[in-house]
Amino acid sequence: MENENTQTILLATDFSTGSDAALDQAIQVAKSTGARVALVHVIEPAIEFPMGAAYSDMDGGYYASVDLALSARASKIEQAGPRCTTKILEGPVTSEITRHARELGASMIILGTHGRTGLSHVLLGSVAEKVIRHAACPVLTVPYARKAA
Amino acid sequence: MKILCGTNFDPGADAAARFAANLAARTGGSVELMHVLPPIDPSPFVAGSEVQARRMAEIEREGAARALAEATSALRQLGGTPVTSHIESGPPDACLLLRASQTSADLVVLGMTGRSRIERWLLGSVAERVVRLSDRPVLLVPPATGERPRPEPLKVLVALDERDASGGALSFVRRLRAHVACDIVALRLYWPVEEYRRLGLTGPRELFQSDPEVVSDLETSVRNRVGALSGAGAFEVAVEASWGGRAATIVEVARARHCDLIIMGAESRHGLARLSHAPIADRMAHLAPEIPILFVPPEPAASPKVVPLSTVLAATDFTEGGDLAVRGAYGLLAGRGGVVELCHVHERPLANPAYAYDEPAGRLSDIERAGLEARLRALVPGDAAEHGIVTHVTVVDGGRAATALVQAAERMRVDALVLGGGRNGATRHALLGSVAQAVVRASRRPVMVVPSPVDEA
Repeated sequence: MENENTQTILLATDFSTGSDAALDQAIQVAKSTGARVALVHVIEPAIEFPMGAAYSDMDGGYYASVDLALSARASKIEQAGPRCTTKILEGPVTSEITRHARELGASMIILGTHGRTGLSHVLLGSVAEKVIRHAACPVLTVPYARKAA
Repeated sequence: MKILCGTNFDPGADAAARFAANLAARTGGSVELMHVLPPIDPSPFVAGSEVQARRMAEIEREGAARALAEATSALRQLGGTPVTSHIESGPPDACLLLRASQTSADLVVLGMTGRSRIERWLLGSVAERVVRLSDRPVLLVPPATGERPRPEPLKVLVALDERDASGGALSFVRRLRAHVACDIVALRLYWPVEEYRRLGLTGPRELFQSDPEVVSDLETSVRNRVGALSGAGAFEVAVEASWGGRAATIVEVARARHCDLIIMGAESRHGLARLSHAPIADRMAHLAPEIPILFVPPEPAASPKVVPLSTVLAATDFTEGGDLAVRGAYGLLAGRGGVVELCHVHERPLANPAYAYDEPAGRLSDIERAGLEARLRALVPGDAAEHGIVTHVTVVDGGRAATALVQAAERMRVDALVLGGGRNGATRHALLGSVAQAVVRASRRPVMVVPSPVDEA
């Protein structure tokens, strides 16, 4: 079943609307290249405050809900045709995505962008832009179009 | 179409009711005529005031019920559609909206009162509030409407803008046209400065008339967005330059084309945003005292339709990284074919603003341009034609690379951009930034960045 030459597309999602637009695009690319999709979500570690962890819901319940959300998207991909695996990663978003892509030998990374501009861009930055700087494979960014034609 | 029509027995309200009955008859629906009485409001300072107020209210209610019955039977006599009536007391806008959702009406119809500006300012307008608060389409009918004959087909103007807010207006038109033959004019207004920047059109451009390049681009967008319309009637697209006064331009176009109905997205702005953007419903009604206006609330944004990438803009600066990106673009389309727009930007400063002046200094000569185009053509892989990939070559003269590429992508309407870049060393990155990052930030189309083979310092 698993072909040696099958390419892998790494699709990172944060479950936002923008990510789901990227998911549709990933299906299209995977279908036309016969690649399989590795769907990942990165959980960033809680910021440690002196008085204890910033939030404490990082228990099984949180993982279960992330897993559920990932599976829902994975089955959407598989219904459209391409094979799909899911994985939850933990650590800094950018480096986890690029590291995992290297490990898989991914031929492409697909990401949604929120299209933040101005102040929110400066403050929040863009995961996509950082991934572009560090990735060893092509990165396809899919903007979430808030404007219609 | 199930229509709820509010009435206060004004001549304006009668015109609205007739329009509603006509529409219901054509679409095979029904009309409910509704009157809202003011709430019982006893004065707290007069002894026995509540009894008094109740008696007054009862008398009023009887009178209103009689008037409503008359209005209902007058509508029934027009024939063609079932008419029911309903009476209630309370705040009129809230009662209307509640009733509309209880009866799951498809449309709320109201007459515009003949109030003057100052009266409206003092009293506010029920219609205005209903338009603003309603979660379903609201049709405002001005008093002068009823006198005009309405021939088949209905001539409808749909005002579209770049936002999703007008998506609801489009789907209403689709529903309407399934029942009624409509000639539709889709009007897209644009702000010249914005469109010139988006498309990167330079040199002295027309500022007040429509610019042919903008018109053809936006017309294609509108046609793509509207797609195929079912039902009978003509369809045309009008694209007009507009400096601010949206309402005035819409009414002007509607008049010039003798439209019977204007359909537009309702702007549901609240709080401060309402102060900076005066409600358009009132202005429209003031400007067009003879054309009914239908406001459709924005729909929840449908997820954008994703198409397989078939047209790709590949950019190169003739460095190793750029040429790798070109190969990446052909690789993306290999096996199913498509169009590659090979693009190189000859960077030079442009005049500011670029749409107003021309900056000839540093412009490419024909020979230089031909040389660059030949270099681009040399990058086309030998087996491109076998894979069914067509190549177009473009040299963009002027501007900064990132901006020029995003603008070229808009002009060419490509599905995605492919460019090299990425892995710059930290120092170089901090100093120069990267064209790729700037493109990712600015483009509203997918961008594929192919990492350059430089070291990862």
